[in-house]
Amino acid sequence: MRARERLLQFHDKKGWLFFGVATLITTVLIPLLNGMPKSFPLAVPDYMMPLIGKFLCFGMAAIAMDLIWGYTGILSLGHGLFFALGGYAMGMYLMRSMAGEGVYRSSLPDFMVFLDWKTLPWYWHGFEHFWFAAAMVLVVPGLLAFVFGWFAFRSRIKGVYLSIVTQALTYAAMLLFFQNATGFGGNNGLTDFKRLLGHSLQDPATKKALYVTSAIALSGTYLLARFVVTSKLGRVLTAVRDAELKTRFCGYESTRYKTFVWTLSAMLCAVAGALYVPQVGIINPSEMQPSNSIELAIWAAVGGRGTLLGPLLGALFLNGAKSFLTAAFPSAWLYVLGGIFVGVTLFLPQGFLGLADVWRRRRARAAAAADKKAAGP
Amino acid sequence: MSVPPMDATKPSDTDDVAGVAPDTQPTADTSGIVKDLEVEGVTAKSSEPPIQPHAVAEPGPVGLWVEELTVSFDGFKALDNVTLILARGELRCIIGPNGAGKTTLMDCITGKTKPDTGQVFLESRAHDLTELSECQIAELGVGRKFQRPTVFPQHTVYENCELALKVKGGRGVFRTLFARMDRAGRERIDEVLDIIGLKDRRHTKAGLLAHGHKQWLEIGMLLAMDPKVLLIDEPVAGMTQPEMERTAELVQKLAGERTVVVVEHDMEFVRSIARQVTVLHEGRILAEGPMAEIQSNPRVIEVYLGT
Repeated sequence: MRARERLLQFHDKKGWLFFGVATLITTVLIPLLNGMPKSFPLAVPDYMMPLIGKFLCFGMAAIAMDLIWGYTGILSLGHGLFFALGGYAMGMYLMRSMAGEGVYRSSLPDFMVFLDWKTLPWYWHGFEHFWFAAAMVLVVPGLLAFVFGWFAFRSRIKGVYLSIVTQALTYAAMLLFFQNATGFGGNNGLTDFKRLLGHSLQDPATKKALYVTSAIALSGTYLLARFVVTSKLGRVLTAVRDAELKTRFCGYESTRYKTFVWTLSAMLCAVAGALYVPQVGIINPSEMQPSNSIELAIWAAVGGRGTLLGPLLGALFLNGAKSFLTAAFPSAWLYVLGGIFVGVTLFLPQGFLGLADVWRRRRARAAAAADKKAAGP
Repeated sequence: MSVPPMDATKPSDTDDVAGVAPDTQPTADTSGIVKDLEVEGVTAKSSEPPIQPHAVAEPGPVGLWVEELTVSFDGFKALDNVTLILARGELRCIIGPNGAGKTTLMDCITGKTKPDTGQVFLESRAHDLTELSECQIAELGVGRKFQRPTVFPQHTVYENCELALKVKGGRGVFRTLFARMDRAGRERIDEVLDIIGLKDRRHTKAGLLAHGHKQWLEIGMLLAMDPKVLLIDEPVAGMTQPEMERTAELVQKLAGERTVVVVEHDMEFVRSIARQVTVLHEGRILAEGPMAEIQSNPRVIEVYLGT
């Protein structure tokens, strides 16, 4: 009974219905449509599956972004780093799992042979096991986020200063990963993956499985985030966003709360990155470009911060538009993105989801006015 | 160390001062030695004379003890060797012109500012507050009301109280993540909302409240926190006359159970609630005593009351 009560705090019944329908569409309906013969009008072709899967991964990252920005008021412009680190951990597994099948038939990844390395660097050990790589997807970005967050928040770095520091962090990491000597394939990154857990990545069934995994992970991320923001901790986070000093005078160590949600957000981003890499088939340092992290923030802003659903929809919509526009009008995309961002900032500070609120309020006002009229003489 | 005038009140027959605010009738000076203070480990160091409290109401439990606090900002002494001892349950007003160090004093007690020298203790000498963080101090039982009403604007009135509510087991991250409101907590919040008169506003976003209501909500949050010591910074700034009277009532209700320090500019308000008044001037304590005495103190009149 108490569990039921708590679940109804996530969403009311209508909200759960929407969630259920959306989850069914992404996890069941789309894979079914993918299985339909090509003549069927709504059939989803094989090439679309990794594309949609990629969008879902971006959606996860956007939810992670909303936890830290929308709810806690910390604008990170470096979350692409955590996404990329998760991706690299997965990429390392994919490279190691194909030892001996590369172009050079060596037990080392191709780029190491190319660099004339004789032995595997120490930090590549263990990545031949999937479980180890999966653990590292969480541990490495989580640890980095924890240490960075702890020191940054303890020093009371906030606002635009923190944004700049996070931006610098991802930029520095990008420069580091560009170096061949760092041992992650330099600017080419890790690519030419063959298999995941013994299944060929070229196989449509593997692609479908990866897609479904992403869809389930997205639903799970959403529920986890919902759990966090509807808990008392969630209310403390928004309190920290609105009046941090006051929360401290209420007895909440805001530094710990911020570090917690920062680390959680980084880990969710990393999972998204790990699912993203096998679907796009490559991970390289360009994922750590500052612009990637900024785009992540734009998805959240356009969709509507502090709603979880808004940033998710923002990510899906903007990436869909990007895929379409970069194919149709390659040079126009950045102008469109910039235009949308400026437009939303000026006219829809609550993002597109804020429109729903405006509409609801207008309807309520209209209803109230109608009531008054009816009650009048 | 000179012995400042003591304003002792009638000794109470009970040691439990909680609920019995120090009486307002001053009697003749008594010896200022505080050897009877029921504070753990408070024995005067042999090398130094015991601390002379300015206005400890009576030998009884101490509520708040500020000892020789000095704070300087770039050479400017915001507080200069300020010692302040409040009996448990006392209501003390601190007045003084702008820049007298009133807010700095509050900042030091709540841990926002670290003093150069000096110590702050609550009811026992177990913790020197100047070595703790704001949150630790809050958890020990010091509540603070800011000059400008500070509530969480995006939370409802009820949620504001919920966040402030005293919780068993502390305010750790994971405990808060899995926290559930229990019946006692809900009842306590209802009680608080009743006291501050915002019961029918419980689902209103705090940011939408009128200024005076915000002030009350903030006081309500302090009530929910159930602190031992309450610091209230200019509670009636910007309030209307009826709101001010209601606030005076609230503040007086708070004292007795708790030790309350009120910083206020509004002399009328101070007169309406004050029992003991401390006058700060240029970081030093200029005078201390009951309101009537303060009002006739020539030095106070000179620097502050003016007209």
